[in-house]
Amino acid sequence: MNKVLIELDRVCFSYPDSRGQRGAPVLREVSFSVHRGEFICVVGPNGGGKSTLLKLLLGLERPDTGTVRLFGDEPELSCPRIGYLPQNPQFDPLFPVTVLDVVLMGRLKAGLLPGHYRAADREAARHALAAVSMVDSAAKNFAELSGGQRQRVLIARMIATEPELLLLDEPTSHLDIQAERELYELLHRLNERLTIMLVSHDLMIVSGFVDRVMCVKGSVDIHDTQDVSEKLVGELYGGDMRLVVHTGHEHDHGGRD
Amino acid sequence: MGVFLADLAKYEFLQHALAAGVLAGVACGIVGTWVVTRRITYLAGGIAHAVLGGVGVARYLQKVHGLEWLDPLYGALAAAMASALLIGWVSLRAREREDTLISAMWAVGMAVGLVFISRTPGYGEDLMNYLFGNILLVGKSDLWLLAGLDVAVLMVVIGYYNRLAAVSFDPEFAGLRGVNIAFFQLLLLCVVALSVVLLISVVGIVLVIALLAIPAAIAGRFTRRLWSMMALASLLGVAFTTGGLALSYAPGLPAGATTILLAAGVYLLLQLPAALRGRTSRGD
Repeated sequence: MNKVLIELDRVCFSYPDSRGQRGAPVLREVSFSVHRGEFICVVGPNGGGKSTLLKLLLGLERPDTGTVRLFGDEPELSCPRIGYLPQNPQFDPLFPVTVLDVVLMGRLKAGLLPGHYRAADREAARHALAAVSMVDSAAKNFAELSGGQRQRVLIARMIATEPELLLLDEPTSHLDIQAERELYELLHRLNERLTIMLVSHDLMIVSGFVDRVMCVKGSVDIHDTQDVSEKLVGELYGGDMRLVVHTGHEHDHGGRD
Repeated sequence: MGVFLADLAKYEFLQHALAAGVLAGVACGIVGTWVVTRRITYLAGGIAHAVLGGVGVARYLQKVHGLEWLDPLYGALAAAMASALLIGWVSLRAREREDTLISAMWAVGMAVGLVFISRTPGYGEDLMNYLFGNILLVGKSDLWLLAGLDVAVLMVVIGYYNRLAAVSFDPEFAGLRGVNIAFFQLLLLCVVALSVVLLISVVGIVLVIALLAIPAAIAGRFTRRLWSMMALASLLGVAFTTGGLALSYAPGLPAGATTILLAAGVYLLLQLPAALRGRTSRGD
């Protein structure tokens, strides 16, 4: 149970500028480890490196120095075991796919051999749709769905890949409050068997089911959820302090009452 | 129409033309679906026009230098593949503006073709046939080649349907699942190139884009999955090429142009109700 899933050791990263030179560092000397079964909420100001951190974990970017290990391996080799939900996924609204088609894409095989989905793949896709309460919409056109429904279908696609680790990049940014709450409850259920790292733009999420909060602001600090104080929030967000402290208060009230 | 049916029984060239139309119709529906959903009609147009370069060079070598085996169709295939791979490679590697490159390729291909065709005896007639197609000139050997191309296109699209769909819909996700995106992007462009060559013998270089776009565009209005869109677009493609041939035959109209006008007419008719509805609802 206490197995280490993610391990970063003194990772530094910077994006290349227009001339291909390394620019200002986005992440400096980042070291941490995440254990199996944890639910980690990643917070921090815009430009602090939250999305970059996820890209490093997915192997979409490589660190300048330091090492990234997932499941004890290079990120590129671990990709099939990760479910990833990008921030603002863009889709052509006219592309002809049904909800079931989209979820089935989670069952794609690597390699160049021609092949089709099998009955087991359809079964897995239906299970995944059931987990997000979208079975009834299986035959609907993906483009017809609302933002919240689409988000759930994309999560079903992620579940269909049978991942061990979920990485979600601000999954609630386009959802209304109701859809947001449903999403968190779904993630809470999934957390019973999966490890989750969720990037969030607010601290509302920091409630009962998050184990640790990861603050990304160039450097990375991890705190146990109960230690997240207003002082910390202020340090983290600086100028945005009032707004965030306010939401933090709301949360605190909700937690105590 | 009566004349067409009577002559169809009598003349082999007409039977060949009909068969070529059917083969091309199938390809245009299948490949057109990908071209339309991926929004690469401009790229398909670029490949079609670049083909003239290959045709011109092959025709020149065949006529002037006596390379009898070098059918212009081979030249067309080579040019189509080369331009598809060039565009695909550039769009994968460099952050070049793709449409600029396609435009350049479009014009350069035509320029090369014109220069070589002008150096070849029989200049004018040849050029017209390549630009606007002449389905009545399709011979038996051409038919076999067309059938072969059709089979190749079908095999690729059926065998790799899921991965082509995934790469088209969400390449980032497909890539993270270990699907080789570059391979499938290039494969799809090669399939487009193959079918462009197939269609050129029926409607010619200039009209190819319409035959790729219109049947798929119509089918897209009535279907919501890729495979059903492909099936309906293929049926429509066959109907348009056959109908175009039949309608053009008795009055002696160019078959390619008639096919396109038929397809465009059907497309417009189907758009009309929606357009009218839109107008009245805005007027209210």
